[in-house]
Amino acid sequence: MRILIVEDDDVAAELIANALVQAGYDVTTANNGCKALELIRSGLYRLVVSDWEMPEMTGVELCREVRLRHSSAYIYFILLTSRSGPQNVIEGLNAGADDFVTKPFHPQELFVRVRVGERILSLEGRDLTIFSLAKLAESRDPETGAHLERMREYCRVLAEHLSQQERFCDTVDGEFVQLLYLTSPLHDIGKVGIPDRILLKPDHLTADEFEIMKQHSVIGFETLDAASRAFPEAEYLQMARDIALSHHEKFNGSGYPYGLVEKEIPLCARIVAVADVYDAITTKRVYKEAYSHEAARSIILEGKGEHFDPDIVDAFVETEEQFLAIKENFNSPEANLLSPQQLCHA
Amino acid sequence: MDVAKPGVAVPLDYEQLLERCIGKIELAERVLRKYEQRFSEDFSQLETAVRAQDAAEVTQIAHRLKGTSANVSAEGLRQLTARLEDMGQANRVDEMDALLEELSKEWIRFEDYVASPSVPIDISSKNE
Repeated sequence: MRILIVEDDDVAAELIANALVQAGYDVTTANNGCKALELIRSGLYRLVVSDWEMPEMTGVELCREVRLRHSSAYIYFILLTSRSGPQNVIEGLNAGADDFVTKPFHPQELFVRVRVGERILSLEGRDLTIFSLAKLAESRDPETGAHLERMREYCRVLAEHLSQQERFCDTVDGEFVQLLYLTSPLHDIGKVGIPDRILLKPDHLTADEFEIMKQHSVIGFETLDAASRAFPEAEYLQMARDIALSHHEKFNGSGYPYGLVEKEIPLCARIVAVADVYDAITTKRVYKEAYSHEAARSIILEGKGEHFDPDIVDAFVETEEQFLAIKENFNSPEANLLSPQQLCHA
Repeated sequence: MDVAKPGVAVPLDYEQLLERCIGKIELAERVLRKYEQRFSEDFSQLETAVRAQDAAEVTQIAHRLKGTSANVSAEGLRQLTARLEDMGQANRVDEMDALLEELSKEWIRFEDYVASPSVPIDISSKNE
C-alpha cells in the first residue's frame, strides 16, 4: 500500500519514512500540505500520515480539503500531533481525520495505527461488494434464494468444528471462519455467465450442456481474481476466488475444472463442496425434488475420500444436528431471498 | 551546571533515537548531523528574533526546534524550546534572553555528550 507522509520537518519525515519502509510500505513524502494535495489527487495514495502544524496549509486544513473532494476511494488520514486535550481531538476528527499518532512518534504505535487503517480500508465496500455480487448471482434463479444463507451457515458450522481440532486449529482460526462465512455465497458467481437455457433447464443437462455449465467455476474465478489483483489487501477476495474455482473439484481428482487432488484443493473449497452438495440434495431445484437429510447423509458418506475430504465428511457427521436445524430454519416460508441487511452482516 | 529540568539525566537518549531509526545506526548519524546543522541555523534566527522582540517569530522557530528535538530524543533541548515557545505565545519578550542562554548551555552539553563514548556513533564527518 502507498502511504503519503506530509511533514515539513525533514528530520521527522525521514524517520517516519524509514520506519514505514522498513515495515514494507511504499512511501512518498511531501513537505507541505499544498504539494500533498496535488499528490493525493493522483489517486495513488490510500493512507496519509500528516503533521498538524505546517506553514501554508496545516494538517487539519489538508484533511478538510481531502474530505471535501469526491474521491474514488476513501483515504485514511492519520494526524501527527503533540497536541493534547479533547478540544484538539474534536478539531481533528471534525476535519475528517481517522486517527492520531502522538509526537514524537513511536515506531510500534505508528505501525499499529497504520495497520488499523489498512484493516479499515480493506473493509471499505467489502460487504457491499459481496452483497451485490451474491444478489446478482441469485437474481436469475429464484429457487436458489435461501441457498446462499444456508450455504454460509453450513460452511460456518463445518469450519468451526474443524477449528477445534488440533490439525486444523492453526489454519482454521476465527478470521478463516469469518471469511468463509462471508465469501461462500460467492461460490457460484460464475453462473451469471451461463445461458438461461442451460442454467434454468428443468431437466438433466446433456454432456455438451454440462461442459458449458462447468465453465461457471472458471468464470467466477476470473471475475474474482481480477478484483483480487486490484485490491490485493482484500484477503476475502482471495478466498472467494479459490472457492469459486475449486468447489467442484473432487478429493480423488475426478472433479473440475483442473482435476485437483486431495490437499491441492484449497481447504475453503473442500468445505464448500460438502455444504453445496448437501444443500443441492436437500432442496428443490428446477430439475429435481428435495431429498431427505438421510439421503444426503448417505450420499456424502459414500463420497468420503472420493468426492469429499474425509475430514470434512467426519465434521459433517459430527455436526449434522446443526445442519438439520439450519435446513429447517431456512425452509420455513419466511426464509426467502437474502435481504441486504442479512448479506451485509458479517 | 545541569540546566535541564530535574529528571532529565542525559542530553540525548541514544537508545530511544536508535529505536526510532529502527536500529539503523547510519540513519541515526545522519539525523543527528541534520539536527546539529538545524539547531545552529535556528538558534541564530532565534537570537535575531529575540533581539527584535519578535514574539511570533520566536514562537514559530521554537515550535519547530521543539519538534525536531523530540524526534532525536534530546529531552533537555525539547523542554527548553517548549518553554521558549510558551514564552513567545505569551509575548513575554523580556524573559527570553535568559532562556536563550539556558538553551545555549544545554546545546553545549548535548554536543559534548554526543561526542563522548556514551554515544557510539560519529557525526563529526560532514557530507560536504
